[in-house]
Amino acid sequence: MSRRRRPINHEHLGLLAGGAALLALLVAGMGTGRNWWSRSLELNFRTYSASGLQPGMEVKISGFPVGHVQRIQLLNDAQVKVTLSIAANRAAMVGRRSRATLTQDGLISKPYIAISPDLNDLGQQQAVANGDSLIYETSPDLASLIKQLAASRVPLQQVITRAGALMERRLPQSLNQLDRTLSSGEQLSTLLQREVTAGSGMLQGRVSQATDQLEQTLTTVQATLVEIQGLARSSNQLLRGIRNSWLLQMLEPAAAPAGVSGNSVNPAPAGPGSTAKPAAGCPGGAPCRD
Amino acid sequence: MAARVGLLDFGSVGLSLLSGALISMGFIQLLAPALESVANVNVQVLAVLTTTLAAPLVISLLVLLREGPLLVRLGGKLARRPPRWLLRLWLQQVKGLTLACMGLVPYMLAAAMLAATLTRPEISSLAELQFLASNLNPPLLLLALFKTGLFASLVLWISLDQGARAGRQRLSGSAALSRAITVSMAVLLGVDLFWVLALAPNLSGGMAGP
Repeated sequence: MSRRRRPINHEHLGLLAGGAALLALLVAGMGTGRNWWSRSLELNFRTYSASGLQPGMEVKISGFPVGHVQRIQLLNDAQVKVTLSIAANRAAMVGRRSRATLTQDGLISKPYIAISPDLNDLGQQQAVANGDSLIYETSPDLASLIKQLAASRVPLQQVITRAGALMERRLPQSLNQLDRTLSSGEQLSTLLQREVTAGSGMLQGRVSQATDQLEQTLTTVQATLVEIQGLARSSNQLLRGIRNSWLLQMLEPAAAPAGVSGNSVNPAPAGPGSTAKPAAGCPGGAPCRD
Repeated sequence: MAARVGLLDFGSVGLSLLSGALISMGFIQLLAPALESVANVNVQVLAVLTTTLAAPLVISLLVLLREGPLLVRLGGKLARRPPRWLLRLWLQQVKGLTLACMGLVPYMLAAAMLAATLTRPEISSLAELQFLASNLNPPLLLLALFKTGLFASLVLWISLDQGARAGRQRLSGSAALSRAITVSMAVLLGVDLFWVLALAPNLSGGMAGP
């Protein structure tokens, strides 16, 4: 029997190819989030409890997903070995000082492994190698936190009770004292206000009076100064008259011989032709008496 | 020569796209208001995962409704033949039908993701699509593809068998189709239930366990 060749169904093939392409895109998308297309590095840590740990859990550095938990094994010494797969291009951030902790954002979100970056030697430390071990720090779980909270409840209650008793005993007294202090302060302020009001009126009167007196004094001083000025002028005229009077010129002593008197103006011997000049201001060229 | 079933056409692909988008959008619109829009992206991921879980059943049902009459008629032609002819016909058709059904799964998932992105947009569409794809579980996707193929082969066998039985009992084609749909749904749901209950939960739900 001859078998007829079936015609090619382009629609079927095209749609099948489209489905395959979509599937490839889905796989590519899945792989991108799981570092399938980049080299990865296996690190591990040991812990005494696998509680909260699951294969496939995300591993994050600074909140950024860099890998996942690959497998969890129970060892013969009852320790749990957790193997992490981390993208190789992020391994430079992981150093010997890095710590792995089980972390959870909020109460209902998925827990993940957080690795602290080794910031001391970032980029220049000896990079972790495949199979290296990290230090795992256990984080307190919710049950232990609740237990601690319950344990701290009794002392907290005692402290609150004591504080309440103390407040009950001391607070009324303190309030009374405060009330009295406030009343005293109020009285003091009222008194001060009154004093200031009264004192300011009196002070103003006194200042006004002093100002009036000062004005009178100034007027008197001014008149006195005018009188003194007139008196000085009269005295000056009188002295000028006395100096020019004939009686005073008669009483003037005769001029002493030259070179005898110790009061000579010019100690040098008088030469021929030299004449002693009379001192300025002395009448008749006679030497002035001191 | 037997007619060829299980060819992908725009009708079956369109139905897959529509069903995927509807499941995803319905799921999001059901859950997002209850969660007060605080976890839209999580709801989207959940919608896509649910669509992935439901895809084998939905695609099998679509194939049953589209190809059922033809399969029953093909089975009816073998009413006078020995049972090995039925097996031979099944072997002839199973490869194409299985491949076609598995080819519909990516369309359905793509429609679910696109609908999720458009229903409750959170970030840029491309980044959101990438995020949804990265949150798709590889075991769950493999399980969906495998179950789709398995269910398609079961639907094919049941439809051919019911057609042959109806031919032997001189029943009408519509009665045979009705029985084929009923038996297929019962078998598929039973297998799915057995899968969930009897097999490892991480295979059934696609969730990784310790």
